[in-house]
Amino acid sequence: MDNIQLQRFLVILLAAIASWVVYYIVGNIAYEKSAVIRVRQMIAGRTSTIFDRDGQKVAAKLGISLKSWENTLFWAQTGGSYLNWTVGGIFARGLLLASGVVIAIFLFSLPIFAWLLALIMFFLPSLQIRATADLIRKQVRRLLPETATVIAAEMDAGSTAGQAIERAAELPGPLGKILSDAVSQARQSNRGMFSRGQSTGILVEKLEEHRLNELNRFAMQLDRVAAKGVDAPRIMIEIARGLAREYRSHVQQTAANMDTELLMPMTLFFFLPFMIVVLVPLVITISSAFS
Amino acid sequence: MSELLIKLVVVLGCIAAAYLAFLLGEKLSEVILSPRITSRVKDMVGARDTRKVLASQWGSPEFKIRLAFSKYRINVSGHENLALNLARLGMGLVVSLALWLVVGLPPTASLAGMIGGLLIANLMATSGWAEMCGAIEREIPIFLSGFTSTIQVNPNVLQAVEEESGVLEVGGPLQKWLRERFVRLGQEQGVSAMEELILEAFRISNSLGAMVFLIGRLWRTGGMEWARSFALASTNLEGVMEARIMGLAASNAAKGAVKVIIGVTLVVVVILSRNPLFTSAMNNPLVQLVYGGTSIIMIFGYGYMSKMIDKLI
Repeated sequence: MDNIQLQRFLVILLAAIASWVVYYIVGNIAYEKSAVIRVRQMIAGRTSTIFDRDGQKVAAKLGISLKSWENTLFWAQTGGSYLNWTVGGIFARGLLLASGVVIAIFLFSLPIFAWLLALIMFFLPSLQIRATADLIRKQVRRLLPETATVIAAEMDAGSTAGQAIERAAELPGPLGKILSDAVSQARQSNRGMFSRGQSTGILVEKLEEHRLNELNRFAMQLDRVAAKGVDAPRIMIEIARGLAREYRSHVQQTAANMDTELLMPMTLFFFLPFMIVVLVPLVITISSAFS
Repeated sequence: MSELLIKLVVVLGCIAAAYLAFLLGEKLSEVILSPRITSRVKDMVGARDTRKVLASQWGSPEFKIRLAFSKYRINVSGHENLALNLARLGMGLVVSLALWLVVGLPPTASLAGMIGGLLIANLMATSGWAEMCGAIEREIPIFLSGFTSTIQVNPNVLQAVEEESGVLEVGGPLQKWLRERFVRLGQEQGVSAMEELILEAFRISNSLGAMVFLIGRLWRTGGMEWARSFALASTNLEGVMEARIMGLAASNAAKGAVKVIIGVTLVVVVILSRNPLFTSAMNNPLVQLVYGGTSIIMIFGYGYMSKMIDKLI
């Protein structure tokens, strides 16, 4: 190793150590704000950011409908994330990120494909929320067999359908939260949890708001079971078994399709880098041989 | 030496500038991204955030680190974060040395291995937890089928759980959790421990969570009626678990295939880099960048794909 290499190595190493020391010191600084400052900040503070308050207005002025993002944000919020965000906020954040890229394109005269980056940056916040929403949807689907089992066991032990759902609402996780919201709304309103005649029950209504097929079906099944009387526990057990069978076939299908699912990341993370590793030195060696 | 000092001053200047940017960003974020009501009230009353998951509980970040190190018979309890940071540093040095000595990159470019080491250490801390959750899920059907009959003979829930956990793999994670957490907390706090235990069980697995919830109901209500309902529910849970075990086997096979591909790719990379034909090309900064970047992408890719496989099932 020559002297310059050693110097470079030492500089980078020292820079890394120095930044770690700064990070460590900053992380350990604790300061107490005075009571006056704390009260003032609480009173003057806002519940949401400028993006969330004014984004919707900007979108409306531009004549853009943000309806398609509403359900995605609703699901992400069901999982306890992005609680202060609005669809307008997503739009405004995307616009801000895209504007940053556009400014950079003009400032540094970036090539034409940099506009693609602006487009990606515009959709980045919505994609981030979609990823969270998809995860929560998946968790809800995954929780259905176990939750149905708990409800079936409660009903088999003599509880009514309403009591069983109240118990299931105590389960941790997003499905427990969805059920708990429905239960608390049924308690607060004068309407029943289950459908009676022409009036739709709160449970079906609340669960349908999520626009998830599996959840809708589950709500309707629970609604029908509640009207069955003595036969209800037996039917509920059948429903729970059906959901377990469905989960089994889903797992079988996923296992069978695993190769296809992994193809894209495999190409992106291994095949492409491998090709680059092989080709770059080769091209450089050949070009230097002919130059 | 003076050249080195100048470089050092530049580096320190950069750090100072970065710190100023951080302070400025913090101030700006106070204006643009104002805090939520809850954090403002907490801030006003001077309350400190209480942690949702305690370090002693299963599933806490500290527990995951302890678990990752226990695989190598290293006890890091009480010093989890320090141990993880040391592991990151150590792993970073190992990967950097490998890039330098095995692949033949110059020392400066080999420092890309520090990022690779960081990713590997983080992956180690999380993969141990995923493996343990899988091992617990595999044993749930065995426990459930035995417990439903044991509870008919011995109606004391804690005794039945302790007795039935003896059938499980000695020192296995489910036996450990049932004895160290369920039975111990149950003895200490009585039925009120169920709330904490259900949360902890759901962090490990949905099925374990549902199982503990049902055991909790059995404990609270008692009676033969609930024992029969529990037997019915456990038959259902066993069905779900069978599917899950099948999924775990498929995901393990997929992870194995990914590892083989990484191994083969690495061997080819080493052979190429050591080839005398490419010796001059290896001095080119672009080639060094490609080799360093590729190593990081592959390590990141393995972590990404492992998580993706777990999420798919």
